Order: sequence, then structure tokens, then C-alpha cells
Amino acid sequence: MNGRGGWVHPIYRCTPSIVWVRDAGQTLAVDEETGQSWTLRGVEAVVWDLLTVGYAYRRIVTLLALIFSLSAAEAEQTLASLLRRWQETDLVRVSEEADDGKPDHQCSV
Amino acid sequence: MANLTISAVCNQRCPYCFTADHLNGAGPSQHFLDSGDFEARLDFLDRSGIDQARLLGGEPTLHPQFPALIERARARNKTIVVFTNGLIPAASLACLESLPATACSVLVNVNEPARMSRMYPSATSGSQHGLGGLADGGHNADESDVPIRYVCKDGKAIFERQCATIRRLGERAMVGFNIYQPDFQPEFLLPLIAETGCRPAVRLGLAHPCLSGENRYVYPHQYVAIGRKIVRFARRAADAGVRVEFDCGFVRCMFAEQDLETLTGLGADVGWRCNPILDVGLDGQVIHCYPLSRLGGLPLTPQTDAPALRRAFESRTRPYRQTGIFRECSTCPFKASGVCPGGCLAATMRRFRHTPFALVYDARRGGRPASVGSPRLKPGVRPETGPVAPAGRPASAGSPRLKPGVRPETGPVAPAGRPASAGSPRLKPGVRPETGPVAPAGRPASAGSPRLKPGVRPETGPVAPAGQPASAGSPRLKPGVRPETGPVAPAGQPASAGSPRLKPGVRPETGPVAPAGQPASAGSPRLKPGVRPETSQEAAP
Repeated sequence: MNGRGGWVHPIYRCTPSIVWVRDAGQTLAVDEETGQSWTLRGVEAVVWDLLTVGYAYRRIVTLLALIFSLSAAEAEQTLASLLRRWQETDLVRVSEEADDGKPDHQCSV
Repeated sequence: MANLTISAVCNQRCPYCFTADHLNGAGPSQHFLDSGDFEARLDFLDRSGIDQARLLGGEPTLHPQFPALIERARARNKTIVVFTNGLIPAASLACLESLPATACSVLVNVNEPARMSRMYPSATSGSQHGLGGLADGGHNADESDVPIRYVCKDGKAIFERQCATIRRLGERAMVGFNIYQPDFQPEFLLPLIAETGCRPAVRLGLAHPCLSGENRYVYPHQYVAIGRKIVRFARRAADAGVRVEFDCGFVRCMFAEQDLETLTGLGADVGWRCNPILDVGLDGQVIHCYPLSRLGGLPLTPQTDAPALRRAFESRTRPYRQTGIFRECSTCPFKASGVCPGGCLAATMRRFRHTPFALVYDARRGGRPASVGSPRLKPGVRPETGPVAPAGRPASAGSPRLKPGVRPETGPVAPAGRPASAGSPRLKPGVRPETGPVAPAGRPASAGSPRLKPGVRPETGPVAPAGQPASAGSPRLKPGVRPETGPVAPAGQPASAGSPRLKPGVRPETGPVAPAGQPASAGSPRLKPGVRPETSQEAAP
């Protein structure tokens, strides 16, 4: 919670300059500003798809567990690991926003 | 090769025209290229070792000083190539007629006469390519001075005029035809070629999208049907002694292998190309090509030459060239080997999506990703989901990520025999309710489950100790058994009745694996001894 009693949410956002395309078996993401590209395959491509369609964190964890026959903990660890790696490579950026108790209309858990 | 834009004005309104982005959007303020600038363009060609002056627009022959520009280019021994719609003012046409056929090539793009009237539904409406408010007076581009009137609505009259132009140009002219819809009918070209005496060849072009997508174009899923029609047309053309040539952006897979052999046998110029053409705009900016004009240009300076510009554009577009117009392009061996570029890059880039997403983790509902730095977490406080290691005590060795008082992912449990904290109402002593049990306390984990530690479940938490009942709040959990996702009942012991799917020594759905050296159960065909098959992930390059 923040100092005013509201909750602080980490928000993962796609880096604004990222464009991507879904190919057969892989997803290619390109940073239009830097020219850097990423090829996402397997669970990475699936997670990226789920993110771009707007699923919430918990739902992605659940779906990962179902799709890849993972335990919930493994799915969450996988998702967390991916998000961390993507954050490090600037595919996604993390911000934290406080809602001060107001309803959150974005895709949330 | 480089094209010089000398006119932003056109007297046609072809719906597929790919100059829309460049000439309609952030287009130049001027309509025609200055004569002085044309000299700079010729200098650029000289620097680049290019012996062709390829002129285009808009309609390049509408340039008021078109004959003078041709004369200057010829003075530098340039071969003239003009891309035109055939509605050429008299002075420009006379100029082209005067050139020897070996020094002049005029590609006249024609559209199906039957469709022309549909292409120009209202000749009086709107502006085109920066010239607005010009009344419809029929095609009067015979006058070499601007303003240019829009074409008339009569497609037949346009076609007859184009035929007349081609007839006058004779062997200097070559017919071009752009395919912008799948039900194209190019057969009218064959009598046109026979009647006018132009070169016995047809240059087929696929209408490609501008990056804005504002023009009409054919979609990749239509390519195969288009390819079949091209082959049929190529056969008829060959019978008429006409050769079929291909412009850029065709792909190999739009033709069946047998059809490719047919085309080759017919002498068709089959090729798969997509390279930086280099179109030099009126504003002195060089762009990759018209469809990709929104990529931005590079300035034409007295030092730049075509090879350097081409390298720059290749570098800029390289990330996108990893794929193609089809989803399968990125894994296609013909693309990997360079035989086929994967189609038009503009069409490829239109596949890319920009989808901003925001994944919000709602701290009020539990579950926190470990990836985020959690500066707000305090020792002894687990604000989101799970309990923590008791403050002042080290986390277990089996949970190397756990820090005293901090629960980074989903959390350990309250120590066996102690009540869980009030902040973790779901947790029961010694029970991990959600994701899974561990090897029984006091027993080594199986060799096939190297991550499991005795009494500890390193990722999501321990279980009820073997031999002790789970709490009433976790009815599914049995001692030493994780019914949904976790490990299994101890080998040699029956699974509990509440976990009908569990077999001794087998974890059927998600968890650990069959012990090394032992076969997985028939119910878990994917499980291999000592291997957990599906969770590997590839690192991004």
C-alpha cells in the first residue's frame, strides 16, 4: 500500500516502440527505434500473445499451467522469469501506479 | 538503380497507386522538380555509377520542362527510362519519340478498359497529389503547362489515348499492368501489343500496400489464385509471342512447382525481388521505395551515393526482413537461402502490430510476480499473497530464494505445528494448499525430482507432514500427497481416494517426473524418467 492507504500496482507495459508479428511457431518483435529484434518461441510466444490480448496476470499463470502442464508455481515462476528478462532487455517496462482504492479498469488479476 | 521523381502531379487516379503516402500525405510543397535540382540528381547518378535516368512521378511527362530534362540527361549519356500512364502531353511525347529506341524505354502502365470508368467515379471531386480545386474539363494534358485537369470519366477514351501513345512510341514502349484485384483480366493486353508494335513483353506488377494501407492492393492470401491466373495468361502470351516479366514483390510460393517450370519454359522473367529501389523525391530525400516512404528518407547530399544509401536502408529494414508476407516465411527454406525475399517489405511490415498492453498486478488479490523488484516489502510482512519465513529465522536451505521475513513469489508456509498468520487465511500448519507437496519429511526426494527437498517444496511451499492429517480447510490435501499439481504419493503406497488420478510414484499432470530409471505411467505418456518435458524456454537472442 502506498502512504495514503491506496494500493500500489506494478504495471508491465509493452515498450512503446515495440512492434511485433506472429509467425508460424514464433513471434518476432522489433524495436522500431533501436532496430533490435527478438524472436520469441514456445512459452515466450504464448506469453506474449496472452499479454497482447489483455489477459490478467493470474489468468496468464493459469493458462500457462494448462498449456504447458506446469504447476501453478512453475507457471508463475516462468511468467515472472520472462517478465524479468523482457524487462532487462527493454521489451517491457515496469511502472508502479497507485489507485488509492479506486476501481481499476485495466486488465487486472 | 535509382528513380528520380520529377513530378508530384498525376492526371490519373489509379486506386492502387503506391505514391499515396509520399505525394498525398507529407508530400512536397512543389509540384515539379526544379531544373537546378535535376542537375544535382544527375550528379548523384554519376557518383553512383548509374547510367539510367529513371523518371517517375506522379506522371513525369507532365513536367513543364520535360524535354529539357531529357536533353540534360542525354547530354550525360544517360539512358532514359520513363514510367508513365500513357496520357502524355504532346511536347513530352514528341521528345520521347525523337530518342533512339536503344536510349529510351517507356513503361506505359495501362488498366483494364472495362474497369476504368469504375476507377474514376467522379472526375470533379477532390484533389489529387497536391493539386486541388481543378475543375473537370476532360483530359487536356496535351498542353504542356499546368494546371493539369483530371481525366475524363470515359475509360474507353483513356484507353484509346494510351493505345495511341504506345503506337507512336513503338518499340520504345513496353506495356505494364498492375494487378490490384484477384479477378484481373489481362488478356486485353495481347491485342494491344500486337496492334501497337511495342515491345512484345508485359511487365506485371502486384499492387503493394503503402504503409498507411490507403491504396488498394492485393492481399497475400490472394496470391495463389493470382499466380494461377498469371500462369494461364503467360501461356496465352507465349502463344502470341509476348514475354511476361515480373516486377518486385512476387513470391515463389504463389506458384505451384509445376507452374514455375511452365513459366520458365515459356521464357518468363520469373524473379523474386524486394530491394531498396531508391526513389529520390522532389524534396531531396531518398526513400527506400514509394510504398515504404513512411519509413522516412535520407537526405541526398553532394557526397552520398546509391550504394551507401542502399546499405543504410538495408540496415534499417533488416529486422523486418526476418519474416515475410506470410506467417510461414520466417521458416521457409527459400527465404532462408535468399531465393525468395518473402514478398514486398511494405506488405510484410503491415503485418507488424503495435499493441500496447498493460499487465496490472492487483496487489489486493494475491499473487505477486517475483520478477519485480519489491522495495516495499518489509521483513516479516507479506503484503500480497503468502506467508514469510519467520522474522529472525533463516529460510530453509531448500528455498534459496527465500529471505528471512520475505516471501518473494508465492511463499513458504507457516511452520508445521504453528498456526498460519492471520494475513494468510488459506495457509494451514504444514500444509501448502495450492501448488504442491514435497517429498515426505525425513525422506529424500526421488532422483527424478532433483528439485524436491525433504520436507520442503522449494517453489511454492511445503505440505502436511506425512502421517498427519491435513487441515479441514484443505480438504483436498492428503498427508504427503499433492492432488492437483504437485508430487505424488510415495512409491509403493496407494494414492488417496481423494486423488483418484494419482498413481504411486507418478505425478500425472504437472509436477515432477517419474523417477529416473523407471518408466512413466501410461497415463502420462509425455513424462520421461528424470525429465520434465515441456517447460523449457528459449532465450531471446
